Formats: sequence, C-alpha cells, structure tokens
Amino acid sequence: MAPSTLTTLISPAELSYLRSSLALVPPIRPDARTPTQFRPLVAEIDILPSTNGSARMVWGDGGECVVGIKAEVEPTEPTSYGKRRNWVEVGVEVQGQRDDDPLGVFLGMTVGESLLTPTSTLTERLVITPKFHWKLYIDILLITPPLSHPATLLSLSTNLALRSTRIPRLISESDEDPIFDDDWDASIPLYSITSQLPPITLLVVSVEERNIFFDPTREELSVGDCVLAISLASSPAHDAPKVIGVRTLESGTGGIAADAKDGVVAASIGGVKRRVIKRIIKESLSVGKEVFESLQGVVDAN
Amino acid sequence: MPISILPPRRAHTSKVAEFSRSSYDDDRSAAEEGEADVDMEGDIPMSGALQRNKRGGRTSIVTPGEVVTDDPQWMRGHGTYLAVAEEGEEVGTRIVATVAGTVTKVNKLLSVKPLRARYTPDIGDLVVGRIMEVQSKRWKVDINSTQTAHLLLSSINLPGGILRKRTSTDELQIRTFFSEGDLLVAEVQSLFQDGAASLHTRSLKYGKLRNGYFVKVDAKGIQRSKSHVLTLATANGGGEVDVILGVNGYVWIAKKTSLSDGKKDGKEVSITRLEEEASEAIYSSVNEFIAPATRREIARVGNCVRALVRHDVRVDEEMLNAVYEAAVEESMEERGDADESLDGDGGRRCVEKALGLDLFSGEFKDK
Repeated sequence: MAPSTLTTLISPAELSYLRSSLALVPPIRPDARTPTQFRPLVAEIDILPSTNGSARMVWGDGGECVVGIKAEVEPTEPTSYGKRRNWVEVGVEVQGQRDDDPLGVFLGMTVGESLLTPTSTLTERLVITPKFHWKLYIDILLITPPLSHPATLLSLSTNLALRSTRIPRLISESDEDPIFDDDWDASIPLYSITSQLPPITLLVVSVEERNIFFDPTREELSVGDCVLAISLASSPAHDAPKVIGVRTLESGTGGIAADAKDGVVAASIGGVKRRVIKRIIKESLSVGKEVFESLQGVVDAN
Repeated sequence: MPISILPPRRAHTSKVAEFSRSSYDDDRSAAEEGEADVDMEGDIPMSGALQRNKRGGRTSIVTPGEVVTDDPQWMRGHGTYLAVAEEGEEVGTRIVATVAGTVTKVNKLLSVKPLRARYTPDIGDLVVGRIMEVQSKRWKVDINSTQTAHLLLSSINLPGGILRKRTSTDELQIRTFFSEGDLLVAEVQSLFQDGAASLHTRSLKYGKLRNGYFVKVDAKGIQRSKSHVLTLATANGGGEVDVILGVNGYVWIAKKTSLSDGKKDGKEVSITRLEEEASEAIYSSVNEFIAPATRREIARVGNCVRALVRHDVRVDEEMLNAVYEAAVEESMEERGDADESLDGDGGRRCVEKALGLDLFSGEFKDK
C-alpha cells in the first residue's frame, strides 16, 4: 500500500479523458511521449566529496534526487545469510515531509528490496574478511516533491551512486583485523567494469490490456489497470537483463473502464490477465537493456 | 532510444528571460539603452547585487539573509527587511533579502523578486483551481497559493437561472455542483485579510472544466495579461483548442466547445434565455466525444506551454502560436529521434525558432 501522499485528486472528466486517450490505438500520452519513452533525465556522479560514492539525477520538470553512499567496517556475526539484510541501510528523506512520514520509509524499502535480493550480488561484494564486512549507508534526498512516483528516479540514481562507489584497498591478510591503504587513489571500485551491475527498478503501467507505458506520470498511474515495479539486474556484457523481482503497486483507481457510450468511468470486472503481465515483463527486458546502456554512458562520461 | 540521460548543462544567463519577463524589465531595458543607472551612479557605494552589467542587462541573485545594501537612501520593498544595527556596529540600517531572487528597484524602492514563488492572488485574476474540500456552504479550492481559496455557494451560478435565490436544497446538494477533485475556472472576487482569495464563477465564462487536459507550471510562468482565454487553430485536423491560462500557473487545454452554439433540440436558443438553458449542462462531468487528432494536438499545446515556461518566455497568444507552429514543423521533419514530448532539446529548438534567438548565447538568429 502506497501512502496516501502518493495519490492525487483528479476530476472525473480528467480521468475519463486520460483513460480514453491512453486506451486508443496508437495511444496518446498526455505529454505526447511514445509508450516506451522516458522523460529526459540529467545525471552526474561523484558530486559529494565526503562520500564513498554519490550521484544526482534531475527530471526535466522538477523531481530531483541526490544520493550519497558511506561505507563503514562492521564485524560480521556468524549467523545465517538472512542477517545480511542489515548490511545495507537505505534512508530516504523527502524534502518538506516530516521525519516520521511513511512515504520515506516506503520509498526506502522499495529501493532496498531490490538491492538485497541474493541475485543482485551486492552483499557478496561487501565481505572484507570472514570476520568483517562493509556496512553501506545509502542516503537519498528527494529535493522536490514528487511529480510522479519517484521509484524509478530513486532506483536509477542509487544505481549510479553505487557504481561510483569506491572502497579502500585491503592491505592486511584475510585472517587479521583489516587494515586499509590510506591512499584514496588506490581505492577499488565496488562495482568493477566486468562485474554484474546493481539492479534497477522500472515502473510500468498497463491500460486496457493493449497498451503498456513506461515511466508513467502520476496521472497515468491513476488511470492504469495494473502498475508493476520490475527490478532488473544486468551484466556489463549487455546481455538481456534478468528479472529479479516484480512487485505490484496500487494504481490510483484500482482499475477502471471507460464506458464508451457516455464517457463515464466505472469499475471494471476481472483483474489483470496473465498475458498482460507476460507482455509487460517481456517489454521491460528490452527497455531495461537500453536503460542500462544509458546509465553506462553516464559512468563512461565521467 | 527510449531514455536519454544527459550530463548537466552549466548555467547560462539567458537574455530572453530579461526582456520577456515582465513590465519592470521593460523600463529597465529602456534605461539601459540610454544613460544606464543614472540614479545609482556617483559616489554611492553599492553592494555587488546592485551592480549590473550594463551591456548584458544581467542581474545577480541574492539569497535570503544577504545584505542588499546599507545605504540609507533606499526604501525597502517586497522580499526584504530592515536590519537595525546593533550597538557598536559602524553601519546603520541595512536592507536584507528574505527570498532568493533578483534585485529590482523602482525609483528609491528596493525589492527582491523571488525566483520561484507560490501564486499571490489579486482581485480580478483569472485562476484555474481544484476543489480540495467541500464544506456546508462553500468549497475550499487549491489555487497554488499559500492558502486555499474559498468559493462560496452564493458566488456560483445555480442551475435554473442566474437570478434564483440560494436555498437549503442547494446546500444539501452542494456536491452536485462541485465535488472533491473537480477542476474549475474562476475569478478572484475579493481577498480576505490574511491574503486568502474568495472566488466567484458567476459568468458563463467560468465554471467546471471538462473535455481536456490539465497542465501545471510554475506560478511565475504565467503573467497577467489582456486575455487569459485563448483559442488556437491547430494543425493536422485537430480543430480549435481552447487554452485557459490561469494566473496561478494552472493551465487548462481543452477542445473548443461553445455554449452559444445555440442548438437545443433543434431549436435556436434566444440569447436572453442562454443562461438558463446552459446552466443545466454547466455542472456535468461527462466529456464530449474528442477525436484522436484533437487529443494529439491538445498534448502538443500542453508541451508548448511547458517548454515556454521552462525557458522563461512569456506565455501569450502570439508566443504560444509561434511555438506551436515550430513544434508542428519539428514533428513533420523526418528525424531519426522524433521526440514530440518537447522535454529535452526539441523544446529548446522550438522556442528558439519561435523567438528567432539563441537561448544560450542570446544571439539573434535569422528566422
């Protein structure tokens, strides 16, 4: 359940207009984008001097997100794999929201979840010696109130920040207490070029079975039948990415159907067909591949 | 390519913003052409914020808490306060900025114009608002201001004739007129003492909005002007599209529908009975049929408004038409990266084409 701050007031006339535009073949998005087109992003990495890794990402109209990552050495307790959940701590601060606002916690969980799945291989990278590991603090600051669901923005900027993260080089033996090289130039990147990359999460919304939209705006989310957050992991060889998680999000109206006769919106019966989900996942694989390529471009440019 | 991630562009001072922003700029650019800064020259030491590059007409930005000047000859205006000197300090009173923005002066009055601000209502403004709350005799309307505006049940057109008295039945049926989330266009009728606006929709021009799409831009993006309701003749068989530019930065773009089409059950409606005939349909939330071609053009007009505001260009009929034309041309040209969303470079190209100006260098281009 998304906190109520993510839902919008929208009038019945707007709802019906949006819904019928998105249901057309070919669909017309309210900002004339193609179904798979993302809003243009501006991104830079390595912007905060006192962090291990950082990134900043801005949407054309508003939304801005700054991510800083700090690493700390922590003794490893000899317990099960499940305890590794505590190795990464994600904190989201939404500007203008109170500290105890559920929105921040909710968004933090969305980002943390995909990072901590075993297939994302993040926690393996944090192991220093059998007795010690790095603990990552990922602090995310969402500067402007979200114009749409910020999950994509957060996940893409976290991805960039993780890829710019460097950790000091270990100079001690693996059975001693860890000692690190003082020289920052000798530090090693958390994600080397040849390794599997951190996961990303894409939002996808489907309308009327036939149309699927990527990077939906808030209005588009509110008229969708089904909203999925798809987490993808990719290898640097630019093979097709792997799906590592699918999560449904609440769509604004819980699925509505436009009555063709008088344009009034009414609740639809049924739910989402399996072939729709299948198509969404299939399309997000090809879109995800291009997103990873663009992210690579940002890293290369730096 | 579905996604483009660009490196950040370093800030440039745009000349366009200077001449297109508002009236004070007009006086200033006039002054700059002649003997610039007459009243500021001489032996008066000014802080950096007031020293202007005479050629470019560029201003620097002050931030909250920054001392704008300590010269006693200036009067403080909006966006500033007077800091009284404490004991032992040499300087006397200083004018300190309370908002981040550019310094403007009118004669001896210094004010700071904020870069981003919420809308401040004024009587007579045309605004687009969204109902936030329904109370027993009034609605609370979000108009992008610091406070919600009020719309009283007595200041709307009630169905069944404009001269009808408000009854308790109307109070009970208040949600049949406007309910939460509904969009409306209204005029600011009066202001309360705390600055909150009271709206009215007592005209056929005002009332509930339908058949279109809502665009929100920064409140500073829409300047007060002669007319705020425009009609664009669109290309590609889109027909006519109405654009309502709310002074509060809320913009409504809809298919043109005219209440005075005058046909009801095949009969002409006389102009005197227009109010009564129309009022039945006024509070309907049901859209008419809108052709896909019209929807596509509505989306394009919305993108044009956003692009204009993003590049700090005044949104008026002439500019909107020019940018729209440029956007249509842009989409006609066969390009590999056809991008109709005007969010990125496409939007800048269209605005530049419409202005005949390079936005970053400020150089005029051949049209």
